[in-house]
Amino acid sequence: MSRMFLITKTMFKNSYNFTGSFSFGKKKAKREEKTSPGKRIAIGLLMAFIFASFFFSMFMTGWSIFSVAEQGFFMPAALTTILPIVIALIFVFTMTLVISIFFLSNDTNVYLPLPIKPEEIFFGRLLVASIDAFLIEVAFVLPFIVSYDVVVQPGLLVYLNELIFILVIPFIPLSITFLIAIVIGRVFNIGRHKEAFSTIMMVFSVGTILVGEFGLTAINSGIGSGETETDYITRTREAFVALAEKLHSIDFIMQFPRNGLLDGSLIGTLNMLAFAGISAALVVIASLAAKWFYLKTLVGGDEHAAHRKKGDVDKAMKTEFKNDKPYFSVLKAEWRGIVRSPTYVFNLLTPPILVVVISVFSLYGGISASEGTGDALSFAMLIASITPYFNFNFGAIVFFVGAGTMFIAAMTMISSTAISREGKNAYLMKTWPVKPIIQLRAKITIGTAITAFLLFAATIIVGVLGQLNPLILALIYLPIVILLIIANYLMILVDLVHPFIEWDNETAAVKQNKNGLFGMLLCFAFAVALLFVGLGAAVIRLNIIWSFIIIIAVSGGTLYLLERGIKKKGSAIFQGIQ
Amino acid sequence: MIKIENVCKTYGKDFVAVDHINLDIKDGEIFGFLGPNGAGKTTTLKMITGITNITSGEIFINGKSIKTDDIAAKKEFGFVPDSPDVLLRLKGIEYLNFIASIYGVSKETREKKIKELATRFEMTDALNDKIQNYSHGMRQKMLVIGVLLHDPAVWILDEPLTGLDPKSSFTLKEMMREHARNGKTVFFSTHVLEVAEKLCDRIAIIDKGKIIFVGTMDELKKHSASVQSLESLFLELTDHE
Repeated sequence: MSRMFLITKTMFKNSYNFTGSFSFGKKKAKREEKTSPGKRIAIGLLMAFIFASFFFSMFMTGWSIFSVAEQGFFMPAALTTILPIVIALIFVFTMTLVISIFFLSNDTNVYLPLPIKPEEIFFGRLLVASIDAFLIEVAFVLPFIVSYDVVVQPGLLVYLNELIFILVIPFIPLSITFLIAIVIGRVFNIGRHKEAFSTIMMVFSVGTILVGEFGLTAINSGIGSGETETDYITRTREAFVALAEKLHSIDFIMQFPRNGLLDGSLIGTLNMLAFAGISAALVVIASLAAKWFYLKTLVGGDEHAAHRKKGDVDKAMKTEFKNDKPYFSVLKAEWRGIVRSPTYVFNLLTPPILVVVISVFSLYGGISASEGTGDALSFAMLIASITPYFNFNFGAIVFFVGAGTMFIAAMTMISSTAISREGKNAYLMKTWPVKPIIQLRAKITIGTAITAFLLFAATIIVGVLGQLNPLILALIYLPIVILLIIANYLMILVDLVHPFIEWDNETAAVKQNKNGLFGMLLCFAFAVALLFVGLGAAVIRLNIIWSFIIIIAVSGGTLYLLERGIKKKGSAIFQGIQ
Repeated sequence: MIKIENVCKTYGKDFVAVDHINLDIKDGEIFGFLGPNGAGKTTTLKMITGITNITSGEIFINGKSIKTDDIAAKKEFGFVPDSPDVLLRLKGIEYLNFIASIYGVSKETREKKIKELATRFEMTDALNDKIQNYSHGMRQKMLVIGVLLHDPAVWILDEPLTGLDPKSSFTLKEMMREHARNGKTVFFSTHVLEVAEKLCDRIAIIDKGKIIFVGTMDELKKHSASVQSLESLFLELTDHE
């Protein structure tokens, strides 16, 4: 047992997990870089703010659903629907954990030559993953439970049932994801095809997020205009009951936690214990699978077959031996680094695409309810509802679109990890005889170009469907590009202060990078500022031409100052790479 | 003792990385494994240590098969990989404690050995630092100390001297000799021919996945009397054109 504990402790310490990123309290060794108390407090406050925001938004969602369910007497149907969605949410986050902790950790080659049994590695990794899963649960499941308790006030035994529920729930998605991965591992070697494996798992998670979002939008679209509260409760009850019926196929499992939350007697507790039993059974099955198959999916992970053809070399020589300018050389390297790694592409582009898709569907739901029909609307109707704001007399639209641009730029975290993604190559950047500003420009070009292309496509679609004046489109799109460049500069500068160079795997370089979070928050702050300016412009009814002039002057000036500052600092801009 | 019997490693259908190799490394022997880059040295070491699957053939460590009795076989050896970047977020002392526990080294023995080895490799002051703050050579030394902790019957080392300062390099070579004198086996890969010449009882040269020579340094020199230096001899043996 102590050996098991030691393996888990070692894996936990070596994994770059959420808690492991900050070492509060303990005195650090003199060789280690010390984090100043101010910085630690700032990071702590930031984390607390992010956590509180998540908790509050999830609590409010749960509270609004459970309040209506309590009034409309459809709590069983509400729980039948909400519990799978909550489990699906945990599923999405644990999938990433399973991928990075079980299959992509670079310490695997350390454990393989040691006399450690595969099931010991499995349990060590399972415990490490479950610690992170519990932290995720505190932000995503606990608020639902608390909101349920606030609304229902269910009694002591149900509180005990809830505790059991919280303790066992991460093990179900962790075991299932592990088993899926093992099945995939029987088809191809996961270690050797990390990129393909990550992509498959991420397609699963994106699909789960979209299904969850569609479900919530479909059943909780808010009170429509001309609708009484009773009508709303009736409509919501019908939607929940209909969805609960559709989820009938998984009721053979979901009935246990649902009964545990609804029934305050011993029967409820027995139901919840049965759910814990199912969870334990899944862990046992996963550990048996680990014993027989886990090591086989890990062994030989770093092997690569050499498929060399002479013709390929000749071809590469012809295309490669060009005398590119330094800017284009760095640009080419950055582009290749991104597009040749599906993991990067997926990690980087999934959030903005999800934001757009989810926003569109939420907007559908909102407009649908405001029409009082409850029916899905066509895309043309959605466009028609927003195009009246794109006119010469509503200058605020320039600032609102600017705010949206900063938001999307924050979600497309290409530049925010551009230095960290270099890994140890980042040291070489300092040795190249190329001006830092040229290197940074080349790097941010990629981030800017990808987001600018996405937003250009969106502008054209809205313009064509809304039959907008091309001049209005140009007045809106030009600031978009300048704001994108600023956003990318800000994010890359944040990454430069303290890049995360010693990473476990490529996914970690992107996902476990605090700089991405800071860059994102900086862009959000910019977006909020633009939103307030837009509100001011709406109040004073500012013309679009004036809005354009103001935003171009301010953003252009900011960009000029940023570039001048970087040029002035010269090579000192790279001092954070150490 | 390491016994490699007709071992093959293929990737895909047609790429043979290691081609039917046979080696018999005896107790009390320091055995050097040489070859040009991409010849199959590291692949062979990875097969011996269970990091990579064996396509065909068998490998025995002290009579225990790495294929069918891997945990028992792994208890017989200590392995130093070519890259010392392992468990970087652990402190040196935590890493050593982890290794000692995995191999069941008693508390008293591990304390005594850690003190002794850390002093010998001048690592005492660094034991409480995270490995990620170590230099390449310090990481290498920490791995070597880890291997020496449980005193395995077989040492397997992949390029162990790379990055070590002259004193540590000398210390390690001395320890390899001591280990062999105590009747145990040392199997290591190297690019440095002079090291092989001074240290090894026997060597094997692998090229394009095939063993092209096994024997003592004297036998190697006799192999081609006309060749002036060891370096020229090596180049002649592994000449691809």
